[in-house]
Amino acid sequence: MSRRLLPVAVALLLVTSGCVGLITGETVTFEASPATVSDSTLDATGYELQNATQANVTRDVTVAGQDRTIRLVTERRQYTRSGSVFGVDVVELSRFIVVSMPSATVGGQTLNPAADWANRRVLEAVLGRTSGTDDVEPAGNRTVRALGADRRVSEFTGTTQVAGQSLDVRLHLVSFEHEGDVIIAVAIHPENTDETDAVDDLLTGLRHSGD
Amino acid sequence: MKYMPTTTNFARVVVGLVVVVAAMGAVATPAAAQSDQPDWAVELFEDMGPMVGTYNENVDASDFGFVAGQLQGENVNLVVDDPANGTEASVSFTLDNDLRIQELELGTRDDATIQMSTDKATMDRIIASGNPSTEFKNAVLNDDITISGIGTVSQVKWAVINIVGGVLQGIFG
Repeated sequence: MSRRLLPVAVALLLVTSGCVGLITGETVTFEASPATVSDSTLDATGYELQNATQANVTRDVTVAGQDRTIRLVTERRQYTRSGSVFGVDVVELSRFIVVSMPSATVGGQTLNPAADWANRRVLEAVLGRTSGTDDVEPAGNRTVRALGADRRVSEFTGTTQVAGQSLDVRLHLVSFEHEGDVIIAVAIHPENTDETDAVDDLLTGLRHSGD
Repeated sequence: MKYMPTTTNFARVVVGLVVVVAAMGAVATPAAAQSDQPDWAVELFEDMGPMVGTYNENVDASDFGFVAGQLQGENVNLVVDDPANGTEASVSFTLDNDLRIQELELGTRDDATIQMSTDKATMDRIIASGNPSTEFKNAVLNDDITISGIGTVSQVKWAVINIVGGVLQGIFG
């Protein structure tokens, strides 16, 4: 393609790919649909919805000398089950968090890097510097049916601090694309509490409708 | 994912297309690489040479977390701002699959795919460090070095990457 035709091709690509906003000056928004756990699954597992949040984050970019705004809308649901640890009743003995983020596809190219990450890489990004979970080690994989397909769930062990004491914990993490969104579900609970069946039920009970 | 246009206006699209085509035509012209560099740019470039050797011997791509996969194989324009006198220096390089710095040159390169932006104090800190790979990695992860795309799709991509990184780090609330 000649250099003179390239800008025309790019501009047409933006129009046909749904990024007209980059040209017209509008904010370009990529919005995820929430992934939730069905009520019947919550009843069966004893988990409760603790909070539902929508994050609306923008970044400004300069395209062809013009200022534009990219907006990503992500959805997060946190479910918890109460219990006791170190003899103390706690509201959040186990946590199950499910996040949906837009794949952000432009011209057939998925821009959200998490769309094709392995679970381990997702975990590294999720743990970041604020999770409070240390000494994380892989502890096997299993397959669970979720949102119409078999999904690879990875388990990890680690430690966290509860009431000033170190507590061994187990994490379960799965990440996959579904109907235009990247779905990431992570569960964390004390190592001495077997939540595997409950986590599998929560994953099987996921509901999500994107696109 | 749903793309949600807030309004549609055919005339604005047409006018916008003309603006984009004109602007991108200008962008396609090779950039002046070194002519507008301040005096301290040469000193910065010369100081970076030995630092890059130490950096390349010690860099571990896995330390960069999820950003690593986005940096591998990229051509980088590094723009360094000196707010003390309002001048900017630029150097360019490529990052190989191990995130080692290759082809370090003074000035920008026309085939750059990403731009790293930082200030002179951050670069001075990295150059003076006995462990520049760790210092560089920390600067990237702490946003002392910010990364943006070059080219329309790349710009959107890096905006998305930067947002996704923040969302994932806050997943535990």
